[in-house]
Amino acid sequence: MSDVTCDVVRDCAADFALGALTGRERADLLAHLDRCPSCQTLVGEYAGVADALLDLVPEADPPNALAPPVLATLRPAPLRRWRRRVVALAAAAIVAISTATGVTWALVAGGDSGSAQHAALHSAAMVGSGGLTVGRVVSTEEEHPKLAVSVDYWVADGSYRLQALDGNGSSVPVGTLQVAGGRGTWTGRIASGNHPVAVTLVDPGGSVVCRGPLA
Amino acid sequence: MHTGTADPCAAITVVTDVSGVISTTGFAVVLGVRNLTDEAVLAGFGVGDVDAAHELVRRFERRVYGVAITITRDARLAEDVAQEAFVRAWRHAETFDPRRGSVASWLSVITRNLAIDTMRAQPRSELVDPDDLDWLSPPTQEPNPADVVVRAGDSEWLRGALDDVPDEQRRAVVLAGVVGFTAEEVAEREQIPVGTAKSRIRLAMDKLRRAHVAAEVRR
Repeated sequence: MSDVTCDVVRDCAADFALGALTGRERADLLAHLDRCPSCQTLVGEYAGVADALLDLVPEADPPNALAPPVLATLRPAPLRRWRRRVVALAAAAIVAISTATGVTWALVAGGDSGSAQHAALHSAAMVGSGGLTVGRVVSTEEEHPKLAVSVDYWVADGSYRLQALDGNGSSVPVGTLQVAGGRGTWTGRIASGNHPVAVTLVDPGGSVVCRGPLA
Repeated sequence: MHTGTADPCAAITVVTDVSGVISTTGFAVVLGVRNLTDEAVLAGFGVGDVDAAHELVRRFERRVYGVAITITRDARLAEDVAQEAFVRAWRHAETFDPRRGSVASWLSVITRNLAIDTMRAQPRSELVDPDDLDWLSPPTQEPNPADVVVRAGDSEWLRGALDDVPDEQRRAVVLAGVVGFTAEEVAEREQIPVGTAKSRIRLAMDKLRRAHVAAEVRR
């Protein structure tokens, strides 16, 4: 299935949505979707059906409460409780605002006293071909900013170069993001002291797969 | 000088200063975590907020466990899967995109994938018995009003559409889509050729897709 056509996609879109394709078939289909908005729409419709099927599954009471073991696993960072609350609510604001704008700025409390030091968070969708949201990028507003990039949609399995773009149009390699099973994340610091205006994922052939604007 | 604006979708108050920077000052005072939307609770969960974690689990543990037990048919396995689903949701909370679906659906997909992976490691005899899928059948009597509330969500169109799908196609598509059966496993369970299983799955998916599109148009 190396030369996927729209007819091929129509034939296997349902299997794709149900997760029934092999890794190679999935990668080939994703490569076609990257350049074919109409097939993206079709596959999206099938994916909507696959997700909706789960809504029919009856709810059930677990024999034991799930919260204690889940919370034990989280091992929250040693932040004071009120600081965690502020950070959580800042993230909530990101979700609320990013839904409408795509790019957000939020203020997050920082520092030991929490009285004066603040660091801004930038958050934006990683957008692929056809305006499709394929993931998210979050960065801090500071020298050598922290960066968290995640993709979980449409991006084929493989290795991608993560690049940060500055205001002059120059790109700086940041790291390598591996996508496996349709998902991948990268976190770390940018060596450059300047905050990037965008980050991009670049495939081995040099093509930009998706882009996340940060300014 | 600050100006406050209420976002009805998020049910939280956003405070903006003159520079346009969004501050979260006063969120916790204005509303408790139980008043936040699912998306906001997930975001808090993602950064390790204990209250948000409690709230997210409280809201969705029955749904997550329901998916897990439906696929695994084993209470102990289902409990492990459900716990891991929440942990995975915490690790990947930042990837959630509200434009692609609800938090509930996102958690259900995570749970399904985990449960399927778990079951792949089990002996085939442990795979779900299709005869247990009673919930697939159309209701034989007037539904309980409580059930109607639970079901009257975004997928209401689906239940109606499934009623119009022949039984054998409905079983095939749910075995594939919910339980994670391959076409070969559907064929074996239903004692039909693999080609027939594939055909049933695709026919059902196409009918449901058309119903999905029609439902979207009506919105």
